Amino acid sequence: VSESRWVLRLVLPLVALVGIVLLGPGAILAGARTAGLVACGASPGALTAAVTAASTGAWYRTDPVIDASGTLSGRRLLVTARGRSEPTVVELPRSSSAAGPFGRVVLYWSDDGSQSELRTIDTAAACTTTLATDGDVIRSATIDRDGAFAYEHRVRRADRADLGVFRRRLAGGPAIRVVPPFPVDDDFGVTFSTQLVWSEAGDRLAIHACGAMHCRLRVFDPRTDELAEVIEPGLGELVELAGDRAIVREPCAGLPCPLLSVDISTGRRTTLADDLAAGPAEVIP
Amino acid sequence: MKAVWTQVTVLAVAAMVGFAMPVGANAHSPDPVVGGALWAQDQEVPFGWRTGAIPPAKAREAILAAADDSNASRASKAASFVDGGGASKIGYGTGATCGVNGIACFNRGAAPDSFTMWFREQGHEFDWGTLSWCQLSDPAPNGCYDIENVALDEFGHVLILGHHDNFAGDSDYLDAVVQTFSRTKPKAGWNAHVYGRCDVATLQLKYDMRTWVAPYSTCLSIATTTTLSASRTSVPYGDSVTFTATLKTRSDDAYGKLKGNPLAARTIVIQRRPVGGTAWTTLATMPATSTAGSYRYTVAPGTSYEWRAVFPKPVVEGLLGSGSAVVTVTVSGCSSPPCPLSSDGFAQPGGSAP
Repeated sequence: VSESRWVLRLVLPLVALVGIVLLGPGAILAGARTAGLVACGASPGALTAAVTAASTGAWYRTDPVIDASGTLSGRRLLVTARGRSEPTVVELPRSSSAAGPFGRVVLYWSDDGSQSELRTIDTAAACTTTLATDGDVIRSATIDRDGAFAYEHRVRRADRADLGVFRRRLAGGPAIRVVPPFPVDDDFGVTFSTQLVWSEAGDRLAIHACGAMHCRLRVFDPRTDELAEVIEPGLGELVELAGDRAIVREPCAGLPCPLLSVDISTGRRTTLADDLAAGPAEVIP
Repeated sequence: MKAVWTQVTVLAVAAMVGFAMPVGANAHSPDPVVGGALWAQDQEVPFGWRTGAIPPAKAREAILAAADDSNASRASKAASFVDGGGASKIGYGTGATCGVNGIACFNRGAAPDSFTMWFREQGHEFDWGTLSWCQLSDPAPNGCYDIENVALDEFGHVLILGHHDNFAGDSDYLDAVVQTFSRTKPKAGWNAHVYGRCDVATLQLKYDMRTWVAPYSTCLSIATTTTLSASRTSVPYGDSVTFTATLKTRSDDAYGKLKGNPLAARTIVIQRRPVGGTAWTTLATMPATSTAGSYRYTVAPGTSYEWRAVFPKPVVEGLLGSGSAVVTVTVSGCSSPPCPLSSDGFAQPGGSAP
């Protein structure tokens, strides 16, 4: 017993110290281990410039980390840019994901069970910027095409209730809710996933929330702060938001689902492809 | 199987001679169906694990148990699932092609050749929280999903079943395993390991009964047809008449594979009344013959009667009662005195007049 205590008192701190030395100055926030990354400079507008920069060949990938029991224990985010030989690796907790690239920026978010963090990585400079730390759970996020704002979808930590979509300036400042939570609907049930998807032109943001059977869709126009809703049964996964139409799949189980075009303003639907099992779609130029 | 029928007897209504009702009209409806082709009756569908996405050992055990559960409780000629390779693959993990929702999913687009099934990984994060499989946690925490239950739901989908349409308040939740929302521990039904009666009902409609004596799900309300014929309709006093009844499900396209099925080993009674009378008297239960759905009774009537066969609505299965048309058998005068004065004498099958 006494030997075990000495192990605890001496060896474990030593292991921790060695780990810190090996990992360098990378920060560990909200469960993310950002080894090899330095903090980006705080110059105003730098992040916006990075977001609106011409393509630099930035890319990212998230790999799940599954332990021996088959449990998702974390995610590994790999980011890099053209000309860099090795990707930067960020170890994330299992509640995490990433989006982008936006210019040369990759956006990622993570939650360690007590707080959520929203960060960017400048893939060219291999530096990171913390955009937000929040007590609620950030479930998804994105950046607008102008590099002015980040949008984040949150759920309440205590009961996972939808909190809506918040907007914050990349240059700093508080987050303001711009899209309210979806209404609670017993028929819809719990929400499995909420995605933030920009329209093809990048001028409107789709908030697409899916339950066990159906999805609900809202479209937010950042220029006017207007919100259009298509909340009714019969919407499945979102394929694309193009003009005034959302291309969605019909919800169905176990088969290729019909493809629909839904008018955002009226909710009117048109079936684009009914029998997707029949073969691939033909591209008509 | 046993659990299914034990459960359904509680909800069955009293026996009566009823009238034809459409399928499911007794409130509890059979599960709807999902699209795609049916498997062949009693087809054996082998399945294996997806390379690179093999479930953890305890999950595999639970999925195999669910395949056995499906085979044991299908109560129909629905396909059975066999562990042993083949084109059908079951996977586990982050590669699950379940879209953005669902803790597990299936694809039956290749039926009747193969299917696929996926289970999300333990720890997958949804907006509502973190996925926990009961079999992969020790002890299993409240809020976990039972893999065996969820896998049985998926096997039901693979067979043809859609999500059960529950009453408001889910008061009939236990009538089906194939549910939109699987329940978590410890809510009632979280670890159900046999198909519910409304799952079975649809499997029976689509795949037929395994035998003619097997019970019909009480989630069904299948109308029946009873016929009665007599070997002779005019007999001298003292001679025997053999009555033959047939019992079938009604020939109705809405009954799918159950249409026109003979119903064996059921209780059919023979009744009589005086010619022109109104009150029926039950004489006996008609013994079944070696022909499925056929019942026979022999009697030496003491006088002329009107006869009918009646199938009372059974308590423990989803069949409706029915009665045959009336058959009149005229008994002519006594040919070898002394003749009895009583008009209600009858004989046991094969016996002589009293």
